[in-house]
Amino acid sequence: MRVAVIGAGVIGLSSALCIHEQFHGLVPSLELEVYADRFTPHTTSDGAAGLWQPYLSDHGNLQETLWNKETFDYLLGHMHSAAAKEMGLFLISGYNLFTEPAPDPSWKNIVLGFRNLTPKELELFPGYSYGWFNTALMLEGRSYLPWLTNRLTQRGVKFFHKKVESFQELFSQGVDVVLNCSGMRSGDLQPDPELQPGRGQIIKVLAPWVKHFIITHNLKSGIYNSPYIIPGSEFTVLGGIYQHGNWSEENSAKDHKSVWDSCCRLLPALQKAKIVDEWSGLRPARPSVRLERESIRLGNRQAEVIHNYGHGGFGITIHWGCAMAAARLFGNILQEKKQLATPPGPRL
Amino acid sequence: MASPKVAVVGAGVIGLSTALCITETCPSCSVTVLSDQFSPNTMSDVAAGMLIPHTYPDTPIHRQKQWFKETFAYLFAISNSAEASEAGIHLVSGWQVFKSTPKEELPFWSDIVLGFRAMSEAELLKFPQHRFGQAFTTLKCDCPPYLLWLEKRLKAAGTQLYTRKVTDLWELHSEYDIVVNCAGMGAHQLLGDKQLFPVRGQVLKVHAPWLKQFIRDGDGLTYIYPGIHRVTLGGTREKGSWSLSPDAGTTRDIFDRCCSLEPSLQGAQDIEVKVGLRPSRQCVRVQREVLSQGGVELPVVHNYGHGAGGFSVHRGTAKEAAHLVGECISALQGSSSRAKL
Repeated sequence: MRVAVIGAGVIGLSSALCIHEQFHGLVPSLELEVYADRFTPHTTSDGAAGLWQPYLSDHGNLQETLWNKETFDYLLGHMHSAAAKEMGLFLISGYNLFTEPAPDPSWKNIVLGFRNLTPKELELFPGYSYGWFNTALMLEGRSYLPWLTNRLTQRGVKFFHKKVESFQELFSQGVDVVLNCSGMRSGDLQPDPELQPGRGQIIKVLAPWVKHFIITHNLKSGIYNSPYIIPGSEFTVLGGIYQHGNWSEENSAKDHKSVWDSCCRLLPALQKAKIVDEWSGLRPARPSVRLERESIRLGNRQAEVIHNYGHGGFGITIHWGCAMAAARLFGNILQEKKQLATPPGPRL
Repeated sequence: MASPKVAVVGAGVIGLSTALCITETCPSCSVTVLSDQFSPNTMSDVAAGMLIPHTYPDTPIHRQKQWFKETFAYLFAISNSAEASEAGIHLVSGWQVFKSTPKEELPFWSDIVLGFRAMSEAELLKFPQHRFGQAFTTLKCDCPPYLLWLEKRLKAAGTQLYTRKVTDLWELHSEYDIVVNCAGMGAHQLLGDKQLFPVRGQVLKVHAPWLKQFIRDGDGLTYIYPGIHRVTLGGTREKGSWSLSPDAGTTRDIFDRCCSLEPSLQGAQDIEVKVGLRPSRQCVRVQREVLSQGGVELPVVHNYGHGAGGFSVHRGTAKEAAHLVGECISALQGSSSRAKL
């Protein structure tokens, strides 16, 4: 049973790990392979700051809220292990700021200690009159992706540095199941007009005195088009760009100025921070995550694709819930192919 | 008295902040700071500089609260300005956890720090040995940056800073009109104050930049305070111990206690061990005194004995001491105009 994962960002690697963990003992013939043209540190996941936080509203998509919760709980459970540091996982508190009262988010009971900001706290942020404080998690891609890669390598999963041009290409080589975790470039494998880039640009600075994340919201401009400051283990990420439909991965001087000026206004001490890097990336945005099976008839065979892409700006936030859902779909495939007597035990 | 000459003895957080307050309230004063040690070699440099007050048994609570409130407001304004990183002042959030519920669930300072509340059940799950906790956001003064920033402000205000070991306050009477004693533990030798005693504290300063939250055990003995570049792990409270040498067994013990609160500390690098003596007293001595010898008088303002709470109340006591210096000046001017009659 050959399974090929396309994509080595957080979605591809975590889906691969989840499937291997659950099925390698039950399916002795399981061979897992990861194909990608970009590996860490060059994936979209590496550019993300790594803060666990869903969008403000789930638009009634309770499935995604559940996957977010599963991810948070899974990560929180790892907090006590010695692996946490290696994974790039740590607790962080911070502020979400608004210029007017906002309804509580779908994730208020998932994070720790969610509450409204007090008037004195709001004094820190002139121009903002309402906000939240909570404790969440950081999962830094540049640590997490290598950690996932190590776990997979230890398990004998093979990696191939190549751009897959079509699902057919893999099926004709004898692959039985393809996991499509190709993020932004899924459209190259199968057109999907619903998948659009949500371009972001960030500035990485040295500002080790910043211990909280600060995310501002402008309900008119939309998500992430308002300044945000996210301190990592080494660098602090300044951002606030979300351009729907913009495919450019080049840094823009105009966006740089917008991010720099607005973040310095938010936190004046940043004026003294040293800029170490700048990066643009494309959030693989979609009205909802595409996480479903697709059966493809190939002569007398039935080949299976499990799609797992379109996680927008919340890939890290939702990744493990999606990985487990993808693993369940894989379990169904195995059952149907009579590779498995019964699926593995119930998992949340 | 055109330009009163004021000597401030001590260049830790108390000495420097008191000197600065004096330059603010008495611009005509000529202020000199004298100390045998300057940052990074003062006792203050060992401290984490967290704004979590220590309760002095014999100082009225309202006075302690006022000191803390003034200090917090002063540092809050700096943390919110462009100078924050240079001054080493930053906000930090975290938890104070208790193995058994404390008698006083609401400390006197709970409405001064930000967002004070009881920890939720979910948060307490992270601390299986602890049954109760408080979550809040407070400020931290990183040293050396804060002391160096104070020195810079002092120099800009025309203050002179000299390395000099003062063995007797009286030796200053011919050069200075008023002496301000901020000698901390040094007041023991300078004054023979029997009420002043050391409480030895050993700490580790480690590199663990992924730690963004403080964790403190309510017993005050175990704490994890993330600073700008290093995390301070503590600690000990050894009453009456004068030893400034690090103890290896203590280092191991502190590390183990902190790791049980925060397991990821196992991965901490570059462990530096430091020792400080908290200049402890049942009450902080902020008080005027007039020394006299052979008909000559020397006004002294004391500001020492802050023990474990120096950073938390420094600005408040500095302002009070500066006010007392003002009273000394008025008294001197009063007596000198009487002398003219």
